[in-house]
Amino acid sequence: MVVNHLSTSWSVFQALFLEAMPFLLIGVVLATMARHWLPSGPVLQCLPDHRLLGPLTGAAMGFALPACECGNVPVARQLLASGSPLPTAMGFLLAAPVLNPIVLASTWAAFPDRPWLLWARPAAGLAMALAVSTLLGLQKEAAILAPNLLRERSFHQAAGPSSLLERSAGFIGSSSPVPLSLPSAGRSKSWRLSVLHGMDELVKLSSLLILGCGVAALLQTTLPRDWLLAVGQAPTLSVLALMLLAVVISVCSSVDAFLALGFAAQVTPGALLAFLVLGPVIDLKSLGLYGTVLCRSAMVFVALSCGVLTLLAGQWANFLTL
Amino acid sequence: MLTQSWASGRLQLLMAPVFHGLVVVSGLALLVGGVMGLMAHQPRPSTPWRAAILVLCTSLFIVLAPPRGSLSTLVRHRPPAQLDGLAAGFALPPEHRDLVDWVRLLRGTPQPQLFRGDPVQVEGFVLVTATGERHLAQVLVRCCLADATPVRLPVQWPAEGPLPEQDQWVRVEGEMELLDTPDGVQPVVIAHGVTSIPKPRQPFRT
Repeated sequence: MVVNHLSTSWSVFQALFLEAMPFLLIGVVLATMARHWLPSGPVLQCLPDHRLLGPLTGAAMGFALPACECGNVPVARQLLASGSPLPTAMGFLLAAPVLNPIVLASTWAAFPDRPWLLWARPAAGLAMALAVSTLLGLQKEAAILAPNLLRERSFHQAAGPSSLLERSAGFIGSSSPVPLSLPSAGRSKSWRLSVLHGMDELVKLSSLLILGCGVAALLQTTLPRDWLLAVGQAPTLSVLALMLLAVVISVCSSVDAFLALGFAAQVTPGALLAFLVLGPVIDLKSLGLYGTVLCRSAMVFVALSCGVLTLLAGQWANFLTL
Repeated sequence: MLTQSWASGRLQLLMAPVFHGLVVVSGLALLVGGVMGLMAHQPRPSTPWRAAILVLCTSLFIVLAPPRGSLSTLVRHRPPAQLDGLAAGFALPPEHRDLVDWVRLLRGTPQPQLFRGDPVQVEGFVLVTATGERHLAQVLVRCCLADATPVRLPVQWPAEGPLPEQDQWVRVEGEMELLDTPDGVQPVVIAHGVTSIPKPRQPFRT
């Protein structure tokens, strides 16, 4: 029995990992291209730093990257490393997995008989991204971003806002933490070096993806899915159960609507919305990837706040439709 | 690893065909990137050795240990598949309907007794349910095995001969009947003949 479960988990792991790798690769390729061709300073820093306009701009950028959460993490990380404003990058990180054309098209294809989902899903995703980005904006960057990313970012920010003592890395800091491939490092932006850096980044992110897929695959075969769906029509419990299911299943956001179609009739509308809103942003597979962007406390904060906001959105949908 | 998974036919066991091209192109892109990386005589950025070892070992394991999971274990506790959008087969004569056609037909009709006595010839694998019953099933996959959901028909297996094993692929010939089951009166396939068949190259419907 145990061997049977383990071999089944191994199959699910392979399916998740092999299916996610292309999307991760797309994200890394885009991040590498951005690093190589985009001027790191002026253009990205022109993106809005406003608490509302920033996340809105980041969310709109999601339409340019039709990939799931695995693909947009490396791009969001590169945006931040290149010095783009925090609200824009966070808006992109949190909203792009829902607000992209493939996800919207798949939602429409899966639920033509539930037109309210076509606007409720992107609206709830956008509202969640706006709220969480705004809350994160109240903190200092040092309390949010992963240490390595913070060091890379410090090279591309104007020296003005931070004092010399606050800049603990780079030309002023104690060590030389920035990879040689960064554009500012001597302007030696050869494409070979960019590819090398991209490959290294892909390796790092792939290792995190492996851990996430491993946990998700193990839980998929040990946690009975029908137990979660058994709560069916209970307004709050069904929302919570589907949120847990979304986190565990870790399926790509571009096809999760088709998966939801399988149990849409068994659960409340709010639970369905919660599954479609939370899954693309927070799941076991991508939690490791988030670790390259956010520090641990910020990851916990983002996961909890997204959970609470999704619960509210689900309850709101149940209130309107039941 | 990605291209090998495609070349060995493994992808057909793991995910819907619509993603195969993406995996192959990604594998080729990684090969090109790897060659370019080897050709580049540049000082390396800080190489993530621990991550590289994990990725390398996992890739080797994936190549060396193909998926041999149990579909029955995977979908035992999952809700039945939603069958909208799949070909219906209503117009087919009974003996030409496959398992999915039958399940759609039975789900859609308010009068299952209309199909009593109809000849049945369907193929699938043996799914052992949580209560220990052996149903004939197929799996529906939209994306990959992670979202697999079952389509299943209760079967009354022939009294003589051993019961088929879990995950064994079989062809069942018999007739449709309504029987009292723990879940109420249900359509059940009364099996007159059970033949073992090889596992399909792609063991799920999309």
